[in-house]
Amino acid sequence: MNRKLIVASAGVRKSQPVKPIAGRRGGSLFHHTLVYMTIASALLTITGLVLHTALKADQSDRRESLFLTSLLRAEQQLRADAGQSPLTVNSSREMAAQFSADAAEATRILWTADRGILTRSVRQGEKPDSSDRFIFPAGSQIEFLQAEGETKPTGEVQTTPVIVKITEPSALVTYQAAADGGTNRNKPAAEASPALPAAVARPKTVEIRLQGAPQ
Amino acid sequence: MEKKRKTLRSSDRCASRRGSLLVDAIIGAIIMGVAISMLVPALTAVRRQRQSIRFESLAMLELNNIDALLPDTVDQASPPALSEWFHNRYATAQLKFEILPPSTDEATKIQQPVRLTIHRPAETSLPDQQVSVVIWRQLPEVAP
Repeated sequence: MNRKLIVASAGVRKSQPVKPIAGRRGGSLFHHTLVYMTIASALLTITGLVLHTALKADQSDRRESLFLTSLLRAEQQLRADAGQSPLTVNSSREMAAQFSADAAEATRILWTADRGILTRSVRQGEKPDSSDRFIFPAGSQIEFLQAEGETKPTGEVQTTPVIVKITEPSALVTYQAAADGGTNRNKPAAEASPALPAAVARPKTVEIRLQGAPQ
Repeated sequence: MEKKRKTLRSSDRCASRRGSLLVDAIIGAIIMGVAISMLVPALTAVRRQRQSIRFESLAMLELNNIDALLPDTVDQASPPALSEWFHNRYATAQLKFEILPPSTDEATKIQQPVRLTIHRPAETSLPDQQVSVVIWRQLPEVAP
């Protein structure tokens, strides 16, 4: 449709071609810009969310891998030690095994647990020989327990199982998600390993059961 | 006439411009939809695979626990059971205790092979999972 503007000037009516109306054109452009901005921001938001999810998934994989690798390594070493000599639990954070009756020349293995770190130290007599660490994800807790052994009616000497209990980090551990158990040693225990309320979820545990010393 | 045609072209351009915005939005939505519909199943599959690997590792650890504490002589009347921690994690998992026929090999003739299997029924879009280990125990003494 040919639109013309009738302009009255000094009493003379004269028809002229319509010029674009500045107000309408400007509004239309602004409207377009808004739509473009909406589409662009939606795309950017989704791209950001996708990247964030991918990174979180990578961190989660890394934690899982760290947990399983450390768990399997520790299990293998603990079973090897328990096979050589029965382990004795000294406290919830320490257990030991000794390979010879002669204290001066004996090989003594000491397992210690400190939050998410399990340390195995070997001493030949009084001399330190080697040390190995098994690092679990940040927020993990490890403790040694001596289970109650069953009494056999035959009077057979019954060994009590030694349990290495590993509690996985709760969902409230948000710091250093990709880090290991060594980064939280300077934090208070409640902050380093925050517990979920019992009504929300039970803590996930793994137990390595070993032959202990005879009762 | 020429002026009229020019004005019409300008009007058409304006209309097509408005239309292309809608097309842009639709294309953008389609691309995002396709990307999300590919990403979500992929991430779900990765998570399920991780859970599956975790189950296999923990089941093997539990079988080693049972092996470490099983008595030297097997007794089918009192089969071993899963630990509490494992049962808490995988409530549907079951332990199968199967005494296999003795070996004909002279070296292992005096020992009894026992197969321990942890079986976990199928979950959503995942097949059954089972982890087995064969352990060797002394044969029970037979009264003359």
